[in-house]
Amino acid sequence: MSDNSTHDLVVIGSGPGGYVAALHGARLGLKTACIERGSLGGVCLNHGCIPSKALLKSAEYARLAHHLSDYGITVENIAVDFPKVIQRSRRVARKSEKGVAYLFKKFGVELVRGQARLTAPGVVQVGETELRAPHVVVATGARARWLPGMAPDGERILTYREAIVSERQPTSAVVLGAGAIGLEFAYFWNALGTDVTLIEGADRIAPLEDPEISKELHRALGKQGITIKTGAFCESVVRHGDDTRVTLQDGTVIDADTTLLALGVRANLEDIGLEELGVQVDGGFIHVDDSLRTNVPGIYAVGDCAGPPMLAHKAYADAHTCVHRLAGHDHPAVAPRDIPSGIFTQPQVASFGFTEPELVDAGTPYTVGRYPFAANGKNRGTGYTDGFVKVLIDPELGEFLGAHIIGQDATELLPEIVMAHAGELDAETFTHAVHNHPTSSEAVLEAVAEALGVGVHL
Amino acid sequence: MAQFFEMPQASPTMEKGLLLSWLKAEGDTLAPQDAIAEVETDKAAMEIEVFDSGVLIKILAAAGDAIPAGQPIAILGQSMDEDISGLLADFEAWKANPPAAQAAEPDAPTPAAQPGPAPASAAPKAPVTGTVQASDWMGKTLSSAIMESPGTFLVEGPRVRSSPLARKLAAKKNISLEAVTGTGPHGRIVKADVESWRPPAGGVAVARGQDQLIPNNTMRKTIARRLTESHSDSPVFFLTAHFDCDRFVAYRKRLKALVDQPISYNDLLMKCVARALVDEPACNASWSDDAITRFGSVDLGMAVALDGGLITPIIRSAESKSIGTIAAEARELAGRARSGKLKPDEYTGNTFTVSNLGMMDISEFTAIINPPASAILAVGSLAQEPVVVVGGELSVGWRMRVTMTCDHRVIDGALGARYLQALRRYVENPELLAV
Repeated sequence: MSDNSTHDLVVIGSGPGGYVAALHGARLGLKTACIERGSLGGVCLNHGCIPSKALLKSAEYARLAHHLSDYGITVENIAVDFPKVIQRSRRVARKSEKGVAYLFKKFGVELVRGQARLTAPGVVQVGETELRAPHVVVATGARARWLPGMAPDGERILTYREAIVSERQPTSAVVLGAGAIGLEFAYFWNALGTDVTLIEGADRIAPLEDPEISKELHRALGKQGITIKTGAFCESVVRHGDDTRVTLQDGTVIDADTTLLALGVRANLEDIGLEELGVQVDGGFIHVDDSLRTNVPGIYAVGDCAGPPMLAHKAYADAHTCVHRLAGHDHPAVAPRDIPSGIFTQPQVASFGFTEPELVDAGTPYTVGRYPFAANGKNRGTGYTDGFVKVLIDPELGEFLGAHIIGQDATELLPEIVMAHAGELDAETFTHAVHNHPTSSEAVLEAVAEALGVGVHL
Repeated sequence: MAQFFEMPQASPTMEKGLLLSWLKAEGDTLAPQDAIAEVETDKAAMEIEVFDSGVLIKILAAAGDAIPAGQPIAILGQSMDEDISGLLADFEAWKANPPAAQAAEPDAPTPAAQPGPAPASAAPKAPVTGTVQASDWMGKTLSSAIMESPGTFLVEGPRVRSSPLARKLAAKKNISLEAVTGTGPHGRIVKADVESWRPPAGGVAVARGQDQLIPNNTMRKTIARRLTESHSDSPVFFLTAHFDCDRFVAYRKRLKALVDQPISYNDLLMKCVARALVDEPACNASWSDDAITRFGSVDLGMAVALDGGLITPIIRSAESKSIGTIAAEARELAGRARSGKLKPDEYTGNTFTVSNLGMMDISEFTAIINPPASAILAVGSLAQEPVVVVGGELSVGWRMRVTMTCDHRVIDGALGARYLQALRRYVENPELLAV
């Protein structure tokens, strides 16, 4: 720390990118401050990943309640107390925020509350306080975006930010955008009794996933009662009396109690002094190199504000690499392609690596292995037979090129293949690992065996 | 009474013996000089013999085991009914704490001060009248063997950290992982490291053949160790001389015509080498810190190439043997050397060495001294060359180049030169050999 520095490291934002950067900085012995203007933990802990898991569990139980008779259990008078569903989710979020505060205390990160602004390289103004540090990490995250012809009004035209805290259950809802956020809200509302129409501009839902996954998810959600329109572009969303009116480009008009704008997110770059310091911005995101350095020495950016994929664990990975390297430690950079993604509907979707069309387009040779959960003993026993495991393997070396899972525990099953990929385990060695029986993980093993042509359980 | 039979110290350089096969089975009766097992020592395969009559009660080592000299390999006795439980217990204790491990402990008495191997002291010896017991003479050499060789016999290479994909890719591309620098944690070699590997600058971009690992047998290791020792211990210099061999060639031609026995140029040359050492005995000597040993006879080593190695059988007292005797012995020793049948005392302790690559058209070369000798003569090809004869005219003559490697601690330049003068006298005037 030079003489006029107050800190070694200043982090702007306490979301997954920011708080992890700050904790690692402190762990590595840097005098670290983290600045937060809102709730500790950012979108993930307060209005995203974690509280949404609370809501989705309620949705799952609501659906299960209606199917318990299949298992020989009779329940009567099933009712949804929507405000209670939301209140539980809020309690989870508040607990998460306390968790971050505890970790800051434990590792010795100084928390500074307020709006941060870079006034010069290495100088951050927070109200009356001036923090000076050789390293400043920008981790300001992102927020919902929308298109011309629409804007959230906070009452009936919502983004996830309002929807996740609203204790009023819509009677009907149009969800614009069938990415992870749109799909999860569509699933959640539908499971609790809202009449949901899901609109997606691409020709399939979950358009970033492998097409086979989109197809299976479409089938499953359609069966649950969600109306799905793909290849449908929205022209406008307006209030129509108490309700909302969505007009599609083909002229179709859909009236609904509520419309959710789930058309992606954009980086929070305003009012932090980036432009004045000449920090380069590309396509709406801060431009960084593979050490998460911006073009201005001493200024770094991690997480959503530094570009896609817009995922909490991508922000974690950025923060690890960024802080270890700026502190002079070796740390590998993670390729965006290797970052897994998940959709927490039921069935869940989890994937990493290449999709099959991407391999076809690139001319990359591959072999594919598929295994349906309907053929897996555990899943047949528990009654969760939707979905399958699909793996894409390099035929020469047996390297995992991609994995796509849809099913009840997809997000918990994927990490095994992610680990194999990261450790450079080849598919043949993978199949030598004995898997517990009976488990859903056997479906992963069987899919790999199918890809190698050595499967016997299909 | 039953007693241990131990891996013999068959040669001064032997550290361990590789048990090739058992020639007797448990229960077989033994007569003195019966071969009981076949063992590969550092230089040769040999049979080991028993000294007593009796019976082979118990085998303690398996074929394929490398066994330190002095370690029991069997229990011998007079009858299969003898109680060997005490010996077996001693052997287990011995294995659990072999003498080498004891010697490694700083507080332990020096090995030389120890009475011998634990079982030998634990099991009271009862020498059979009129015979020599294996463990008796073993006991004398065991301590020194342990001091010389606390190291392990088989050493595996270090494990290379690498991912399964990296190994697969390296195998496909015929790249040795040893050549690749790993960028993963703790230098782990990952796929990208193999992908980005390029042959060192200057290397040509052709597909490499598959590297092979040839395990070093005991002979290879002995050659490596002894010649490295010799090369690093002795300050050497080289003297090269060109001999006029017209008479040498003519002499051998006459001998061949007169004698009903094959006699090679090398046989004739060895006789000359031995005789010249009588004239310059200071070259037939060996260095130690306190004194130079000037040997009483010429024990002339001759390098014999083998598959995967070489060995130097010795013609003892070559100075007093006739050309015919030298030729016969050389032929017989070389034959047994090639079939791995030399006994250790037939190839250890040469006082001077001849190494001849002339038959392979090497015109001249240098050789490394084979201790305890202090010099080795490297002999080039005997060939016809244009020569300038008396009167300045060009003619054709038989010529041979020899290069003597001298240990300067024993042989100074002038002494070495005098020796080559003496040798020249015999090579250029072979009739003198008869005097």
